[in-house]
Amino acid sequence: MSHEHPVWDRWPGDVVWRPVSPRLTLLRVVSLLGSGVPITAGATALSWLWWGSPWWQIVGGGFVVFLLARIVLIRRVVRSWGYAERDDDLLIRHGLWTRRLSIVPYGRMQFIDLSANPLQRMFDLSTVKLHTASAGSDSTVPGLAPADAAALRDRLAERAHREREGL
Amino acid sequence: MTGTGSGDEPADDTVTPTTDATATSPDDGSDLPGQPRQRLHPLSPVLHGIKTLWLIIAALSWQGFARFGLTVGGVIVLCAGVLGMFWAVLTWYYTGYQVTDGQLRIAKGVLVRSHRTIPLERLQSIELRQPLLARACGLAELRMEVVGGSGTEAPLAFLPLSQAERLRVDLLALSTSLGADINTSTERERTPDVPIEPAAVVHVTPRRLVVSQLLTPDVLIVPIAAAVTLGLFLWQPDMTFYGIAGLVTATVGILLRPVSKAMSNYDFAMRDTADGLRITRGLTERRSQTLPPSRVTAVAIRWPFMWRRLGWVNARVANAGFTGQGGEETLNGSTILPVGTPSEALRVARSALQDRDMGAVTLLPAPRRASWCSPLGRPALGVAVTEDLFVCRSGRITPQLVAVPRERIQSLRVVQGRLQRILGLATLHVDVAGGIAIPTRAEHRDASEALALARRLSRTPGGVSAGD
Repeated sequence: MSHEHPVWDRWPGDVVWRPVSPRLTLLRVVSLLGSGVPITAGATALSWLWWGSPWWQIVGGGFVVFLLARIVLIRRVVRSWGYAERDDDLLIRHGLWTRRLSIVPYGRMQFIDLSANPLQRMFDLSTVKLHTASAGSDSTVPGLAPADAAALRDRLAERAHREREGL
Repeated sequence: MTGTGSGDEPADDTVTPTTDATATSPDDGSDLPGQPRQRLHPLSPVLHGIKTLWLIIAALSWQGFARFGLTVGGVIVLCAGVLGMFWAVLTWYYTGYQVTDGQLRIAKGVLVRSHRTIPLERLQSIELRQPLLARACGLAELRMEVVGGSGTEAPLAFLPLSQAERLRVDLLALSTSLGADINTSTERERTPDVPIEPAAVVHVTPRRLVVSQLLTPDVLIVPIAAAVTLGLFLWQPDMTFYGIAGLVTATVGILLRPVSKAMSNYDFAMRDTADGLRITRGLTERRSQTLPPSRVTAVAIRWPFMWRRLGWVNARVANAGFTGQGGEETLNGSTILPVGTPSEALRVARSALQDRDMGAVTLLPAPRRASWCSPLGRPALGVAVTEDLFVCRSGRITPQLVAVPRERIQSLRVVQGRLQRILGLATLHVDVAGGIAIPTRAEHRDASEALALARRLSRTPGGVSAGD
């Protein structure tokens, strides 16, 4: 077996991973450009002012290459996101460089957040975040269509209610 | 005077102006039937007033006194003291508490009135504190930790010691009976007023405590700092007085932490009472904390490097309530053994884990190839999952053995970094409430093993009554 497979591919049994919306790619590209372009411009301008000729091309070029690489990777990062509702817990996976798989039993959910910032609303997306009693829990599902997100939230809330357990 | 009935409550708000729109007088009919509303001890405003007096003196400082002259400074302190005392009396007048219906209700506030209701089934631990002055007066402060509280909720300061002890017993009994079955609590008979103290599970002798605190990195820095000071002085004799004074102050500051630790853990004893683990400690300020074991989310035993030759360890527990004001307790949990032998630590851990033995498990070592990820720490890594415990060990320089009761696990995470993926390894994180700095994780396991562990742990053992 190849070790190159993401860790969650080895999760035995029949897990049906549901993807997040592909529009998340566009959103992430926009937000990356929003911060990346000014930084690139600033760094290039500064290196032009301080060091002059060959350096500002090198610095600028480096930043541009880095930005392009990030943009190319974003599609794969978004594709790595997935969630699966199983009988008694929710699985969430994501990550390209560092692979992360979260398992949250429904009975442990304290409350569920459904949120959308202005940029997300522009792309008609929302984020569902589960909270347990632990601060370490990492359980966010970003980039769902609002209707899907609300439906997921309702299903989770219903299951959490059914399996209510304490701390 | 301690059992003031509601008949003695002030009739309305004419005494002080109220700014809050929803302001209500203390006798606003919000009292539930049941136990009458109780007052704090009448001496409490005096104790609080003295505390503010010290604050004022500290704020004025010597420079202030020098500028105003001793008479004017004295008058300022006196006026502020009288004002502070007046305010403390007002606060005391409007503070009351009541136990009804499985809730503790605390009414307080002079200008902005507030009624805080604490559902007792959410109670995490109770601490009874006796600062020096209060101890001299036979008074005590009662502090309660609640799930999700951002700090101690509504301390009751001060109550007579016997009343505080009785209230603690009552609250803890209510809290546990509520967790089990709500119906039984109404017919519960009153607990005996003087609970019998069982023998201590562990008791730390002052000598061992002092030696252990001398063997901390903080103290070892002191000779180095002294040498640096002396060296600087010899090398540069014209160094200003302030420079040397600064260095000396810094040295004293370093010493302050171990000293305060030794003071607060002086005469440390843990007992396994009917209400939970009873921890008593403190030299000037006596503290007595009660921690129901059903609230413990993790236990960690540490082998500090400096104590290795003596074979000493310490033990801490995490629970969902924020314990104390210190950030350290929030991060690392509260101490259940400041220093002791490993067998003592295991005994203490056994009480905290409701008779489960975290020392009896056999830890599975991490695979050899984990050395690529953690060249130094690999031999220390280990994990074990039993029917009701998750146990893990990590750290080569400061080894830590951590146990988590399985029914307290909140969520699981399997994380695989780039290097781990090449090696086919993964780290399993076990998330619990509280104690964020306690390493509740199995590092660098074989990826399939980590997943199998996660699957096994995600199925909570059946028939566990969560308690709340």
